Amino acid sequence: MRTKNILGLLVCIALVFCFYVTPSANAASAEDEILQLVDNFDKAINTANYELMASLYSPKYSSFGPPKSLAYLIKGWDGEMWKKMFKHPAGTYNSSSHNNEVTILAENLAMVTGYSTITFYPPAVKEESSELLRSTSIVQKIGGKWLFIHGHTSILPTE
Amino acid sequence: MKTKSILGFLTCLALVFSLSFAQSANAASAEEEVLQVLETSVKALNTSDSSLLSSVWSHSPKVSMFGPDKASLFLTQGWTELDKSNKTLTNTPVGTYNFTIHHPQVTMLGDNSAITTAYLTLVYTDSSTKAQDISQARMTLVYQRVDGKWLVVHNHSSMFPTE
Repeated sequence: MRTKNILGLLVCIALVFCFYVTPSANAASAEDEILQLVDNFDKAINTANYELMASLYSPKYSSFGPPKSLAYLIKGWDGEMWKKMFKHPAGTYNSSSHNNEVTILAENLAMVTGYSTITFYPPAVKEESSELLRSTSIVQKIGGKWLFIHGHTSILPTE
Repeated sequence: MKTKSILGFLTCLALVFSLSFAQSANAASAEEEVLQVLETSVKALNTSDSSLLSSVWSHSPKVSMFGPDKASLFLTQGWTELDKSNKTLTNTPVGTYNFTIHHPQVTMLGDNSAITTAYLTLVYTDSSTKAQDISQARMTLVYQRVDGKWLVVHNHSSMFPTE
């Protein structure tokens, strides 16, 4: 009788442990998927891959960008801008994102804050130029896939 | 029999219409509530009211902000740090900072999350010399509804790019 009680208790503990572990495993997986989206953004720039870049955005995307041409809110994904940028050979631009932090806002909604360094290696000129940017991205899981739905990227303020 | 069918059909139509109207009314109301939070945060800054500003922010350790100036260059995280940063603005005499919002837009992201985008004009008046400095910024605010109340959880503000 005593052995049965102990066995029952152990089964209960095992069940509680399984219930406890499953949600955190899912949460970790969502964060990993979102960080993968950011990695894919870098990868698309570094390999001048237009199709990969296009696959990362929701049609409802809106953004504030860092250069003067993107000063005002752009609604929709600006494919023409990326096409123009990717006319340069792969390696002309290099993007490296760092210190990314994911905040889950709802089941299929999250925010990523972080920094990225964009380096430009003009083919004709040997000097490179780079810019450190701050970035806030809102991402949403649509049809089982995490996509960017809003971005605010800005240069580091100097004043 | 025919009259009953028509009556039944009309009742169904009225129900569908009511449900659809109720949903859009709720959506409009949520957008208005979010917009109200944005307006309240600007009012708090313009009146140097730190408790009003505190009331529109979530006090979670997960809140964060990229500010428009060098003082908040890197991500400020957690309510304790963010409150200190907000108080550098609200601890000044009323009239030192005057913010005006332009073209605010609300995007609902489900029932309990939303973002607003807007442009800001900031007039800084030096309290001793009365000299003024005008600047313009872009702002994205992220909101979450907690216990029925919309609260700001993230702010990314940046000066208008000049290059």
